[in-house]
Amino acid sequence: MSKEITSRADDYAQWYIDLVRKAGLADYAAVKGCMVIKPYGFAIWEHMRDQLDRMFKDTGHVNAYFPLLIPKSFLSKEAQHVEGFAKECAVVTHYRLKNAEDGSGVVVDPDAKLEEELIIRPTSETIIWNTYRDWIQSHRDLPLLINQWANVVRWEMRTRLFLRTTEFLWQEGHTAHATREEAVAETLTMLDIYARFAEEWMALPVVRGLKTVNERFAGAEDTYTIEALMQDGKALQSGTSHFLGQNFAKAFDVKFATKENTVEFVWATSWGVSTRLMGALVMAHSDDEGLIIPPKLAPTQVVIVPIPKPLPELTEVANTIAADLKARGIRVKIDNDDQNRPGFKFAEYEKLGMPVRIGLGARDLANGTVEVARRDTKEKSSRVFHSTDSVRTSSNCLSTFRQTCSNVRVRTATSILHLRIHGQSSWRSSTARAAL
Amino acid sequence: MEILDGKGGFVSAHWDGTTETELAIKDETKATIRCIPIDNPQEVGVCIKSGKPSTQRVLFARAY
Repeated sequence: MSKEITSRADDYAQWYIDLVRKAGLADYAAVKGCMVIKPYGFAIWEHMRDQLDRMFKDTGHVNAYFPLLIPKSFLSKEAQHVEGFAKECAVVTHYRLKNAEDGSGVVVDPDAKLEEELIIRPTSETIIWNTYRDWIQSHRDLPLLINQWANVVRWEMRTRLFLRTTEFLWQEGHTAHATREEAVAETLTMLDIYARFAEEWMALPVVRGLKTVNERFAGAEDTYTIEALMQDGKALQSGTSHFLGQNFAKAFDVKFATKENTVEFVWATSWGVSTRLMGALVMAHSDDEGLIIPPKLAPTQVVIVPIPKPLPELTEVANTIAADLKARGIRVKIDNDDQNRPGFKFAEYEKLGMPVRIGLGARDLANGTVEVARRDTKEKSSRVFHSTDSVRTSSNCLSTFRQTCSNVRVRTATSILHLRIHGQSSWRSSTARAAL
Repeated sequence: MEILDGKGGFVSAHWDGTTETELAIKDETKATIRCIPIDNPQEVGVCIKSGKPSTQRVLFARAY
């Protein structure tokens, strides 16, 4: 299978694209710069989304939804914000098509021109702060801790699947606070959530830091970032959290009555991660054979493959093992396909990055064993299986499974630290602790 | 900067704090300042580009 995937040594950029397309994560779309997220890719994204959503809710945030279309005038209310985003805004100018008089197809109806053009959101600070003006009057309305899951559009010239696409999926948190201190604390809390998610769920060690003035978000006072390192030694900004000061409150006139009955502008934060994380996941862990997906995010965590094909007695054992694993909350799949050879199947599962594969053959069964293979290290081991005691097998699989999880983390953390931070030794050790 | 052409990774180095220097380094090496790490230790040094005084190291890298 690896033949269809370019090797990293030959062409790292092409390796990444091959992997994303051939493992069924995403593909190019009819519009340049857009992508189709395929079911397997979307299943991984759903696990990311669900976990992040839990982490947001555990810290007091709630979800809401704001419109896709933003009046053009909103964008000019915050000077730096518009300067940062103007060059990549998609603009809606008309609301109707009609048949061309010469029969050549549909054309834009010039009579259906909008009085004010609409912007497809590149980010939602403006529309949300315009709404917050109605929601916030008093200190009792604060803090307001809102997140939205949405798509945004930024017209990028150079795009790459997941890493930089014209339309992408993300979450954007927009919070409002009574004091600067509270807003700064929120900015850092969310940065920490992103870092923890990257490290604990994606097995991706990150550096937490502050952006320079030149690199910060348009309209922010401070932008914090988590930066990861890919296998080719290039950095990937993987999430940002912004302290917006009172910039958007001033632009949209959002004030509140304090406990002392004075009137003040509201303090703000915004923070986001996107489907770019999918790109980070692929680039950080995978190899020339295919994806390596950390178990917590893998749509299927254990695949059971009867060899040479699903014979009745093998299927029965496979079902028993699968039931035990499922009872332990593990996502299991049994391969019931009887068309393809085991070698082909194994290569396919390697390409898909399934963390653990259990091979189940007639000879193994006679010996009372199954073969357990780990995707990340490619280690195979024989594990005892008693048909009367499938729990034991399950436990064996489970321990392998947990090892896989920690192994991926250790491996990436080690590789990042070994060669990748040049110049400062004291800082190195603190990152090691954070990652492990 | 040979590190960037070789294995890649983050380069922790002194920077004078100006956007001008930051952009000059980017032009020359394609590397950007990824971040000023949180809890970054303060130390006296000189900027790798301008030679001006600097108070801390920042992380440079080529990035996606």
